[in-house]
Amino acid sequence: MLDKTASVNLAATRCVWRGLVIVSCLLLWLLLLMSCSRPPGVYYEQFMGFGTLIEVKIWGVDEKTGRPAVAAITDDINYMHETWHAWHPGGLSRINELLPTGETFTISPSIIPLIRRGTELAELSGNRFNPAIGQLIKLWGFASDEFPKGPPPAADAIQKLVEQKPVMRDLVLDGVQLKTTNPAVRLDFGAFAKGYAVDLAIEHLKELGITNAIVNAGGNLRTIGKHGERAWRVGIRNPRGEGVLGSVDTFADESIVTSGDYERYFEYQGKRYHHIIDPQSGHPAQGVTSVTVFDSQAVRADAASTAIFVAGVDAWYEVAKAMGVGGVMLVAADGVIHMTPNLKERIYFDIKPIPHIIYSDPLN
Amino acid sequence: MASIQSSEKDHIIAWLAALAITIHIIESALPTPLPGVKPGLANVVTLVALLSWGWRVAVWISMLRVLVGSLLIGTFLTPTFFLSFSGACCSLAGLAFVQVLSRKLPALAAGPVGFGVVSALMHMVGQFWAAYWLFIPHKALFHLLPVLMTMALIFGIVSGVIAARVVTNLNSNTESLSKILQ
Amino acid sequence: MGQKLTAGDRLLLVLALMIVASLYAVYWGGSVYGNQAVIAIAGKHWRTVDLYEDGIYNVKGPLGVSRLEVHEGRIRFISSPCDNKQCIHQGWIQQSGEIVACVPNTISVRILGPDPRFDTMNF
Repeated sequence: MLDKTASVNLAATRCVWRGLVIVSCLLLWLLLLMSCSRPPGVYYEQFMGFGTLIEVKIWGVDEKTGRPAVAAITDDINYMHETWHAWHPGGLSRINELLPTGETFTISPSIIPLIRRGTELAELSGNRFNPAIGQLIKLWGFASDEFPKGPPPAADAIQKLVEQKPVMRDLVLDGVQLKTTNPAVRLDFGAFAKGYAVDLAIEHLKELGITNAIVNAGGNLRTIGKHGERAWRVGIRNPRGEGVLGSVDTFADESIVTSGDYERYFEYQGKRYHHIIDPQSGHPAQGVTSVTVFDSQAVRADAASTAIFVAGVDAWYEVAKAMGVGGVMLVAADGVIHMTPNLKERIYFDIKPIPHIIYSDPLN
Repeated sequence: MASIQSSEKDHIIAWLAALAITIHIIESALPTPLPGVKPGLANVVTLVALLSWGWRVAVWISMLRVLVGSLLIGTFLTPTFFLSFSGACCSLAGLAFVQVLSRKLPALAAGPVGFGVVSALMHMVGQFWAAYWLFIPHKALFHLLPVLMTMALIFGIVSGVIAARVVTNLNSNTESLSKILQ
Repeated sequence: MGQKLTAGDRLLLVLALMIVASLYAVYWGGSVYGNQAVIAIAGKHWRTVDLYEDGIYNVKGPLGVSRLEVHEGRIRFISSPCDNKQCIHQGWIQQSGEIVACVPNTISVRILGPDPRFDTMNF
């Protein structure tokens, strides 16, 4: 009797034992599959917009979700590009035609935020970022799809425009009615339009439920979320010469914008004339090769990168502080890098030898 | 007063465990061309145990090898230990699986070489998995996987062959062996 | 050899060989490791090139033909109809994730790879 029970128990135990073995094997097999499986997709698209190459990378979505999302922001970007274009026929060009008349006229509502934000950022930058100097930009030949060939404009022509001191404050905006008190004002939002567009594109992606993405429009990029388990990694181009200067792991919602003297320029008799005009001197700002700004907003980073470039090696820190940006890396014409200390641990320099870096005081 | 009767079997198992541990320690001193690639000679002992006395004895030997071995070398609870342990567990699971299948489908029952291959491959999988999830979650690690698994496959075949030889000798020499052990 | 291979052994060996071979295909295959580059025109894929097959590629964009050179795992622009030749000045690229582009001619080159060095480049 006892024997029978014992053998039944033994058989039962064996069953349980075998069952456990098989289950644990299956679990291990599943784990094996997990570790060998490919990571979920990065959806990537590249297209032309705002006159430059725009990249959108979205983590963790497939083509079904990614394609319409990118299509939506492509439409946004094309619309903004045409409406805000300083010299193609459209919203902004019309405004520039009507401004010198001194009359009050109605403007398209989509331009209003540009004017408001532009005025705000211009004031904070001490007008080093100044969208009202459209005439100067045109004089230097940068208000055109082709690159200017030189020679640089005559000194007195430059002087004349500089003296007229067109600033955003000279605009009077009431609802959708606009006029200017200074007939020299012509609007060219090129220095921050891309940043603004990138912010809007990111907001649109967020509205579509996307939480991990990069939108990169030329030197203007913003990231949200991460690349799966790790942060989005951005490579910073070497402003002079080949390859990569360094790389940085971005925060979960961060924008990086670079302005450089290599983006649009012409050379005449051995001298380089680039497109970042100092409103005070009327000439391309000197002493700086590139400025990279880190901030939570692309529009602020974009405006600041221009303003800080104009401020130069001497005044960059004050302007950065006034505009409230997150971090700055300035590559001076002599190759020395000026940087805010919070970027020290974040930027991993790729080039050898590691450049000479001067750290400023913290920004906040 | 009950006394613990140790049988023949216990003696041999203890002796094999000691052998496995010794080989494990010697192997850990060998230089490895790639991190984590060991000739897997200690595995031969596990296989012999499996073939002669079944899976449970193999588990004993394997676990003793990993635990005692790491305690003696001083790598207990270090990354090396976790790799070893993970490898051993996966290997044993694989062996159990194949053994169960072999009983269910006797026509396709595995022999020593089959067990050797399975145990070696699963051992490598366990080690790699531990390395990836616990220590280096870097996709580039997968670039090593094909090579590691190739080596595991080769060592698996070799260890299976050796184990088969040993078992044959053991069977024919059991009597003389027990005399030696006494 | 003490014993023959059983039928089960043979099956296991075949399975094992298949698994190991497929591992090579998956993890060593060309498209996964960083030795290929994608050339795109206006964002649309034009060609995926093997960086270890030296050669010159003539890519036609709206401004004209840009020429790209591939040599020993690297690629660069050697001529382009754009004004400022930024694309040429950037020189060779080779790391997974690196990008070089001739924006006026809408031609971009991107190095493929499983775990790119960078997700994007800030120009």
